[in-house]
Amino acid sequence: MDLTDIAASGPADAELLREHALRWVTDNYDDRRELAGREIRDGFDRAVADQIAEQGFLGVMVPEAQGGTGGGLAEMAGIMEAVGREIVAEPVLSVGGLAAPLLASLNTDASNALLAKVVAGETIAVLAHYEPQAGYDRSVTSTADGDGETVKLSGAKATTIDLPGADVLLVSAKDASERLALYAVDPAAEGVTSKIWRVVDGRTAAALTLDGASAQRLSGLDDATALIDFALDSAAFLVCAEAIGIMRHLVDETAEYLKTRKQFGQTLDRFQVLQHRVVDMLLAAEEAHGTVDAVIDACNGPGRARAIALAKTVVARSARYVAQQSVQLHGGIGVTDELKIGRYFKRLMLCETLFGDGDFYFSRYEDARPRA
Amino acid sequence: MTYDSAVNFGVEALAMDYPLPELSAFRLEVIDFVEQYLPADIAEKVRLNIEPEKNDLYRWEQILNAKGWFCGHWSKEDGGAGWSPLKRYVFEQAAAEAGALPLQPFGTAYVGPVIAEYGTPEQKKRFLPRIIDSSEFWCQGYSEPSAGSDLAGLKLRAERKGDRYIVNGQKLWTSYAHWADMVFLLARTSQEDRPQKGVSFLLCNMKQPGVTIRPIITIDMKHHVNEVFFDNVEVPVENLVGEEGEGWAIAKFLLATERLIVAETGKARRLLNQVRKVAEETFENGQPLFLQSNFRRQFTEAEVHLQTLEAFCARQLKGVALGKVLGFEASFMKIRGSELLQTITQLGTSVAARQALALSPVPLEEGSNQEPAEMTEASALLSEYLFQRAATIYGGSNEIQHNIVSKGRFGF
Repeated sequence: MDLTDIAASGPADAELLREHALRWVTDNYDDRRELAGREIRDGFDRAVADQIAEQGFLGVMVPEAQGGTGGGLAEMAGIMEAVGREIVAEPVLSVGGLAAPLLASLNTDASNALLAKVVAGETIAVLAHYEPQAGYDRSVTSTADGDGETVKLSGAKATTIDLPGADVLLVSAKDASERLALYAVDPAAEGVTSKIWRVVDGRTAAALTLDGASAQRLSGLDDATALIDFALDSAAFLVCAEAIGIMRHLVDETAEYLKTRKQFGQTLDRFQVLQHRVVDMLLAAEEAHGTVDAVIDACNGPGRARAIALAKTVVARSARYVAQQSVQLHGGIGVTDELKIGRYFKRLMLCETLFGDGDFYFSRYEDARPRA
Repeated sequence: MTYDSAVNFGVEALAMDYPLPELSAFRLEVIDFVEQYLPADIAEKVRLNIEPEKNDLYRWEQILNAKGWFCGHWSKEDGGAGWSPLKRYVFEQAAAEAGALPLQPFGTAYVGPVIAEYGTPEQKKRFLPRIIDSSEFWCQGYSEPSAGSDLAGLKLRAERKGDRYIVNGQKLWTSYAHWADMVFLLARTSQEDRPQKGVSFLLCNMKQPGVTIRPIITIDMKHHVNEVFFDNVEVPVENLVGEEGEGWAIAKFLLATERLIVAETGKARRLLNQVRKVAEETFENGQPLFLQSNFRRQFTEAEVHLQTLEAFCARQLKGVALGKVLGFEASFMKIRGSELLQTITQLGTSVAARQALALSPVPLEEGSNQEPAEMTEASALLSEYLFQRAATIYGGSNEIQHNIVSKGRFGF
């Protein structure tokens, strides 16, 4: 059975897809695989990114009519859990969880042409939306001058993961009619300046300055705010699913470590304070998992944004606790970069904060409370 | 509060009272001295949390030594200024608050006082002057793979053969072994006794055959610590400190002196100021993050914790000045001090998170005409947060500190 059969055969198959993805990452990632991108500017291994595209992971959230397999958040969440399980460095979330579904939702000739290449893995497209003055807020002040197919973009975009390895930048900006639109920009184009960073988990990110950079419009004539907002909520949710994969692994690894590490003549699992701590870690992970599952079910209704805000709030808290306690309970070796625990810790920091941290989504949850 | 008034506050104006008024003139003198004499390039490394070179430390030690402050807590007889524990605390914290390069404690704070207390006249003459003049750099050989929180589990063996000990085994988490000329070792000289009794305190030359150092990179991607292997390494018997088998008692003495500087309240002040600065320069929906109610609440909580810890330390150290010996109370300082640094730097990460937790600039490709990214204070705080995860682990984990108090105070 290949992926196309799984995804096409019905809604119950999110679980099959999840198992398939977990098997694929565990078969293809050994302990060091995720490190391949660390020495290079892209921050990930292009050859592995190609294999991921071949698996069909990038088209999971794209409708069949647009060349994907027609899944939704439930299907992609399974893949993201697998990404978390082995802390895959290649851009699965940026491309399969964000750029591809966003392009699909635009559904113009230009966006569909790009989408086909993105799903096939020929082109890595990454969204550059957030702006330095806005922080986690999604408002945009970048502008597009001129009308017609090609315009000139000006503005600044905040430091964003996976941009250094992108072939095409998906840049949001206000058009001449003050409508938010999405544009394709060549990263090597005149007027594009990028400052490149190694982020905490070894991947790379870039902050963009656009000064009259040539761009091609991808979105239609209508304002794209709602579509971008929807796509960013999806991504915020999917990074929660990634966190679940990491937390589950950390809880198991930590419990296992307590059973083997000896101090004071006994294994650490004999110490009650540590027994209770690892139970609290499990509790945090379970709460996060339950909330993520519940949100998948709530995602088709009008309370979608609030449900996702709830998930991100809960996952951010759990992620911080599980990450910190995993390191604490491993002691010295937990603080090394050599052992994977430290690298899972750092990846969880990103899951906790990407697309907005716990405080941000707490406020968003609060602000979206329905009137009594 | 409006945005303007927040900015006008000024970064230096954390404006908190200091709980030791009788030493406030000395505190300000130290702060002034650091501002005037700390070389600018070193100050910049501290600000941006960039790994110093050994020579940076050497330069700063020389500057302090010329002022008589490098080993100020040593007795005048040994070349120090004879500071009281309280004065020493104020010096350490004021220097850190002003952004001085942190002194590595292994010579000045650890082995120096041990040699002064237990050493022979020859050992004092041989080792102490070279600590004060920075010509010998020390590291500490305590932890081992099987001896972490349970230090008595150490296995490194020293066997006496004539006028030397032959050392075999491994040390772990050895900070700055890669800079060190000498290491003070806890070594097992007898297998017969109970674990604590067969341990001796040896001074060992690091620059000799049989010593192998393997770097360990920590989660902040820096090289602080090492594994050190000893393969038939020789230590002359005159480098035994105290008696054979007295190592555990010496280690306890060292621990007691180390406890006086365990709460890094000065560093906490500096970092809290830095968090405030970056939060004022970071924007959320067009407003400085520092003005966001969520953030402000957490910042003020950290400020309250800092003042509490300073007040607590002042009370304990005043007791020491009256002759009280710090016992389990030092564990309070370790617990709250480490938690505070974690809390403050965690707050710093909420700024760094708005830059995707960017940790270090990637160098430009050859021939690029673009401007490179440059290290920021938000990234510096992120790096410090990663490092501070170890603060609740090293020197006896916080779980162990709780055990010490429950046993020491309640007899549990």
